[in-house]
Amino acid sequence: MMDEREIIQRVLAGDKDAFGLLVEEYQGRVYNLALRMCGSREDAFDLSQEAFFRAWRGLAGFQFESAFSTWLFRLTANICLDWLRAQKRRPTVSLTSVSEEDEAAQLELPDPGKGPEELLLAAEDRALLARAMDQLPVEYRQILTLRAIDELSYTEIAQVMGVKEGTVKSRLSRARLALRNKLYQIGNKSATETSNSTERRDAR
Amino acid sequence: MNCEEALTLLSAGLDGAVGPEEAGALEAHLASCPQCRRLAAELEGLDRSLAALKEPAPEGLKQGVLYRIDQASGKAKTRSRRFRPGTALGAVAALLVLLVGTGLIKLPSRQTRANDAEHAETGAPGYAEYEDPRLAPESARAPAYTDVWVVPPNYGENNYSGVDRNDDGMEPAKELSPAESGKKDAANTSSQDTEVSMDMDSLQARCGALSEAEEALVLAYADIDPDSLFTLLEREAPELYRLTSELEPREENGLLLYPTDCGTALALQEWLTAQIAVNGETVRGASLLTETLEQLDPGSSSLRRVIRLETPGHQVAWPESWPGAWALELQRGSNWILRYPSEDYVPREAAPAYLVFEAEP
Repeated sequence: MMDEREIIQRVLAGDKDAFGLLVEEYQGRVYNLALRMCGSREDAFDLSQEAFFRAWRGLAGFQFESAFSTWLFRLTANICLDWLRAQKRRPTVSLTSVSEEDEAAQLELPDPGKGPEELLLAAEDRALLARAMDQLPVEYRQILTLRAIDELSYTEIAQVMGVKEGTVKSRLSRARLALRNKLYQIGNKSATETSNSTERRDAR
Repeated sequence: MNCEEALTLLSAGLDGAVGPEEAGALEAHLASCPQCRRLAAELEGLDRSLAALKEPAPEGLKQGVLYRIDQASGKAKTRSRRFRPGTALGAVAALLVLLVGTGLIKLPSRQTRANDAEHAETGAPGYAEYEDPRLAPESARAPAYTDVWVVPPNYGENNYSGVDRNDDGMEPAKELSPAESGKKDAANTSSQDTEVSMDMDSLQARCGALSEAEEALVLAYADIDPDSLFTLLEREAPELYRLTSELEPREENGLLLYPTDCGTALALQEWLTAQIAVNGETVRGASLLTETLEQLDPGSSSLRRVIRLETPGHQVAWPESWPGAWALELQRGSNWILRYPSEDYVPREAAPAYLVFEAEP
């Protein structure tokens, strides 16, 4: 079993099958990153292929300064960001426009006095959760995916996103809060209906 | 500690990034803050649910990558670019390039049309459910499909340099692409033992010239000849047959051009994609139908738009009642496709397209 450095050396020598090994290894995480950043399976499919294709072409420039994985994820994220810009998507709130006050205000609970059950139920609805994700700023979508889905470390995330580790820590916490609040916002109706029926069931 | 700081620690705690001192301080805060206690539970649950969003990479991803690499190394230096959104399909023409094979074309086995009876009752358009091509016997394997090449209107300019504009009609067959090799294997049982000599360079060059002149997009290449295609459509996709069988071709620069519209061309492309196997693997075709059905959920965020077309009054009864729409245009990724042409679909002149075949020598 070759180690990754060997595989990459082979790829640099033109070994396409070796590159296939890399694709197999990383296609899951690359695809999920593209999927959560861009919101559509077809586009994620296309953009994932684009990412690997560019990785193939650009591998000569890969200097082993970082791990191949972080280099690849960074490439993927950049492709997605370019694509999103070209899409001129419905206005998503960019991180830079969120003021400090707004962020603090987000700590206000939408519905004080209730327990976490409502939200947790809503979160279990995958479609609902995906929709909530989709409505967050792209930097939040990116960091949540890298951590919770692709399971990158803070160090790796810092490299992929080109920020300091401290920033990763704080941005991640804000992203989680934003997702939670968004889920409350859009999931309130269905969550209430579900919990009501649960209450009725429990009451019997 | 205030709640903001607690939030940061709660989040970091999920990632194992909290030291013992911080953990102690957080505990103290939580003991007296029911809001943060609740938040802690919520963030934890949310993280688990996020992890559950993970999906496996779809079939064909790796093949597609390797195939693109093959295409790019050595052969025509044209690059494929994804269709640029913002270029409304109605504004540019489209070319659906269908290459003439040389006797190796195998029509697929008769597909199951189990749901056709159902469709007939509900009046829904007949988009038959296709069998997985992988299950088809070798001799019935559908024609190979090279790739979706999208050539933007400024084809030939800086970004897309290296296009060989020479008319290299006499070039020998290049190394076979995976699609071609797959087809070659499938064809070994054929009586005609002809080599496939798809002169991709020349074809691409001529299509490039044509697309530039017409400001058109090339949508797809597939190796099939017109007669075989129409026979296939008549049998398998009557709506597409209706839209294409009456077309009168003109010949230009070694190409046969059937003028049609973008909706039809894209519908045909989509249908071809569903038929096609590359290296024995389905190119997204089988899963595409399932995905599209999922996208028909109005509550789903992935359904972008449904467009109402001209003649009113005809309802699509399948899959759900969708009042007023009789031909659904769905967005697949960045492309708009005509997914379910109904009986009443009228080709739109404002969105011209060509079905392009290689003319017989």
